[in-house]
Amino acid sequence: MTQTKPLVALRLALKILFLFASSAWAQIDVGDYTISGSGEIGGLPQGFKGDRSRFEEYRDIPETVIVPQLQLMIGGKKEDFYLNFDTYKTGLNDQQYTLRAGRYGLLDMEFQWDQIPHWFDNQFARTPYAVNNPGQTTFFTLGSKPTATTATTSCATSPLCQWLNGNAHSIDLSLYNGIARFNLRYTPTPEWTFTGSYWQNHNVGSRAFGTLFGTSPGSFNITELAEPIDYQTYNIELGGEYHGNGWSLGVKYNGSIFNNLHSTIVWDNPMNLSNSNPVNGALTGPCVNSAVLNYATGAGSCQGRLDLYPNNQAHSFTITGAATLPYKSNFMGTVSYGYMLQNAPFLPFTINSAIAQPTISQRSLGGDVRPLLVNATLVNNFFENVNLKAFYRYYGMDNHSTQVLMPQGFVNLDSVLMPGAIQNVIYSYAKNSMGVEGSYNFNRWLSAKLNWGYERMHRHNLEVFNQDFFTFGQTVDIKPTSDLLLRASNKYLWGNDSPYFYFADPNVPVTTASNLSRKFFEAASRENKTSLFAQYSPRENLMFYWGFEYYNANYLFATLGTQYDNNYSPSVGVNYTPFNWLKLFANYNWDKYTWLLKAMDRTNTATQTPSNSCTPFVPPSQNRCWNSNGVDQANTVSVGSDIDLIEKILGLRLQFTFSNGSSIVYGSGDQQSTTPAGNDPPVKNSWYQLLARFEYNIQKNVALRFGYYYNHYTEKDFGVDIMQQWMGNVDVVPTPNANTARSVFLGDRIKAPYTANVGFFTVSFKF
Amino acid sequence: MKQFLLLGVFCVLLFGWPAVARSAESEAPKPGPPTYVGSEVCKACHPTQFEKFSQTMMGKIFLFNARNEEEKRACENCHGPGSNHVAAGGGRSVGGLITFRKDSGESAKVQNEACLGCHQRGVQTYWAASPHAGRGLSCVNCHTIMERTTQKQLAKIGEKTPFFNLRAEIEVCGQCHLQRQAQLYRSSHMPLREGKLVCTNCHNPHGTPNPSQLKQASVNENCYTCHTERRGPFLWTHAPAFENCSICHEPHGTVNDRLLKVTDPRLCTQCHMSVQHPVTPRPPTSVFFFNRSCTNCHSQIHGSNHPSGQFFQR
Repeated sequence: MTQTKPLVALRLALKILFLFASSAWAQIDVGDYTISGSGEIGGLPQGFKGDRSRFEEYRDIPETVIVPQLQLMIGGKKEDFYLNFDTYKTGLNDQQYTLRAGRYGLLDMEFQWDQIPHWFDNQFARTPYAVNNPGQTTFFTLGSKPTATTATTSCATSPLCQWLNGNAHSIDLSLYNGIARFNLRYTPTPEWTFTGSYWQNHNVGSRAFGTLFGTSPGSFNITELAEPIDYQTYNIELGGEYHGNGWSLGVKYNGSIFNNLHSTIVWDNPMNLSNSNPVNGALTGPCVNSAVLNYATGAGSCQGRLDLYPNNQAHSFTITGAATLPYKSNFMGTVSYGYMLQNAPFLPFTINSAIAQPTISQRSLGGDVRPLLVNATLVNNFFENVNLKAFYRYYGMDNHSTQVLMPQGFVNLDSVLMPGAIQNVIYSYAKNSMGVEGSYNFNRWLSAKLNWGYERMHRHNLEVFNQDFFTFGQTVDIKPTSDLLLRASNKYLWGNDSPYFYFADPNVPVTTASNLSRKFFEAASRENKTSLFAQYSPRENLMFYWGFEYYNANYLFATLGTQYDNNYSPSVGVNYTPFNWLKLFANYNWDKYTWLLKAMDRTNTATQTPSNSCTPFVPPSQNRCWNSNGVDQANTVSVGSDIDLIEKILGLRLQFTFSNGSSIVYGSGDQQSTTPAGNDPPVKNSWYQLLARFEYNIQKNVALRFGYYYNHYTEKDFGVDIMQQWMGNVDVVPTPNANTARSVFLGDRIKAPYTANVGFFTVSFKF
Repeated sequence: MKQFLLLGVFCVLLFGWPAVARSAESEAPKPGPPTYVGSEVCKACHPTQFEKFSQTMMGKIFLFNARNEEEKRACENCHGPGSNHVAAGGGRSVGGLITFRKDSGESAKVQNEACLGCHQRGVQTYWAASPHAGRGLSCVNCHTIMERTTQKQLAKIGEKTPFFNLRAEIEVCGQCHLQRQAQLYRSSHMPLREGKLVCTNCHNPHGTPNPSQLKQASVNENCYTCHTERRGPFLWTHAPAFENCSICHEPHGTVNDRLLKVTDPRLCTQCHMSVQHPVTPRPPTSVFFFNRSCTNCHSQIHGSNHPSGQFFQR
């Protein structure tokens, strides 16, 4: 009879159990060293139903033998050297290894290897493309094409849908992140510290990515692909610090290099039928490019070419100093200057050979952004119960990238030349901040603090050049006894109403300050943030805690745009140990986030303004204004207990965690439209986790862990649940959308439900 | 005669008593300033604590690898000189030692001074100016010193056995930051509850010169330490993405996809409210709504380096 892996694991575990069930196992002495450690091995029988990629989104829980952890510690008997080796989930996709060695008080080194999987979908995604990536460019090729480009609302009559059903194959969408780290810390004397760190990150896999052809907006066809990901990042950090008598000075260098091994993708256009048989879709020869997009005849660009993230690098130099000054003052300062560089060569405007390439002034961007941080902070507590703080901070992202001119325009989506000179926009910004803070300890159990701050935000080449923010805050901390703690804080921020230059709309003169529509992060604002926290332990074995977070932001003087957003988040919890052998805990959090948006459906900002299109006197059939407000809510509950069923021999951990969330978007208005604003279907999700774990200490050094793990997830998201490869029968309101009927999607449903029932048993041992 | 006798007794009592009292006092002198007695003396009465402490990194340094006179003091380096405590026969709160128990009544400032004597450097350089220091937190609110717990000597021990992947840091920070701990359980989240990330991957709780005690100088620089592909700079820059990732994203966890603060397409409409399709409300069956909404087409939303990528479609 074939044995399942978990059964094999059980037998193996029992053998190990009897092998180790000996009190003779203890720390091992080898010459001048002592060796100790621990390990755990077992199995995970399970029953599973649903979307495995969601269950194992960032983890690996296979039905197999597992080694949850291994630990080895070697120490010198003179207590001088040490070596620790830890492993976590050995051999699985989320495994981690750490080796730490050094000499106490002198040298510490750590090597770590960590793997982080990230699953998107392994069940629903399908694509008709074959993928070939011999080098920097990844090619997505089609072995056949639809017989026609006819846009219909029924799959049965859609050549594209029929072709997809016959030619699409399954693909996995996932990422794998492998991270190697080396950290070193060398303290030759208590005054000197040298640190070094090297970190290499390899991120590989694929994820969904939208591309399109056409004259969007207008006529277009989307081809959703699995973006090839192969990122390699190399980071190094070197630093040294000297700590003198009352002062310290440190310098640090950070370097980071990012390489994208798949920086370009080229994909076939399924709507170009110049090289396919109209009867069966078989390829008949080379594809023919056309400078004129014509879905009726299947003419257009044969391929699309897109630039993925280019290689880049960053370097920064930091000096940090601190000094103890007279009158019980402390000064801390930091200066950091960096470079973010990117100079990958530009791709041509288009891969469509039928369209003449416009000219461009540069072959590459010469991307050069220089972050600069200057901070000076002074803290003083000359007076016994008074603490004063003052700071100044400058942070700027100064963009030295090249202005690139495209005097003949650009090519839109490999399909049509868009004449008219354009150039890139060089964004920069800088923040100057300063503030003072004073706190006073009224007595041992009561302290209060006031703070005031000012910040000027300067933006270059964005709508608001300069904006000033003022903050005023108060905190109170009350601790009348060792078992009662109350904390309260409030911060009020107001951002002034600065001139707003509406670059995006050519119909609005650049010099006209416009309040019609403001991006909320550039709007005048009034923000309030309040935090309350309390902790009460009436008895040593009982503790209650409460928390409340509140945030409100109002964006003023903007007729259109975000009007406000609010967040409320109360929490409550208790820890109770009624008996030595029983510990109970529970906590609950509710979180609510709301926002309000005002918008106007318009094609012309000069003649269609809120004043003439949204007033009550405008007939509803002409009313263009609409509102949308959203409510996101989440509840999180965790209850559990730790029970010593038999003291020091048998323990039980029970824990239940539940989290549910919803996102509801309401809409109303825009009565003149064929698609007036309305309520969106709510998005709801819920996640349950139950853990029941026994730990049986067979011997001093051997324990058996076994139990049950339940995990259940459901989500309803209309926009994701309906996904298929072809959506021509979905996007039919108010009228069938021919663009959607010509589009190809992966159909991945990244939020599918699952139910997992997992048993586990492991044997852990120490020596 | 009797009067003289009574007067004499009175004078003896009046003038003689202080002398008698001074004599009594000189036989029981007040304790002088405490002096160091050495850790072996501490060990004699506190063998359990001594043994546990000797297993910690600090214990290994102080007890076996001390590099200077300060470190050689071991126990008394933090608790203060113990001669008065020993002379009084020991006991809780006896002899003026600095104690770190929750009910010790010791102020956070006094407790922290013991730690800051050595540890006000490196990642703790900005402690004096940090919000945690300003709120009266003591080092022992988060760290356990006397016995080996985690690598950073945190007050809680993380569990990394099957299905219990929460790490100690998250438990420690979550004692006060209740909302943030709850956000880890949102459907869209980074892998903190799976044990792959911790709070200090982004924040330095000991204080920094940066907002929200971030390790890097700005939100974006912080995100770029892992998401280096989005660092750019790009030929076509998406201004809010260049300025602050948290204009669109909530890194602690959200109910919306991709850690978005507001579900799309409304997220984009918050700024793109001028003309054409961004401000036309669409039904949920529309290609502007389902799947990835605006990024069905504008997939290069963090920036594009393609000459034809002005609208983040190439």
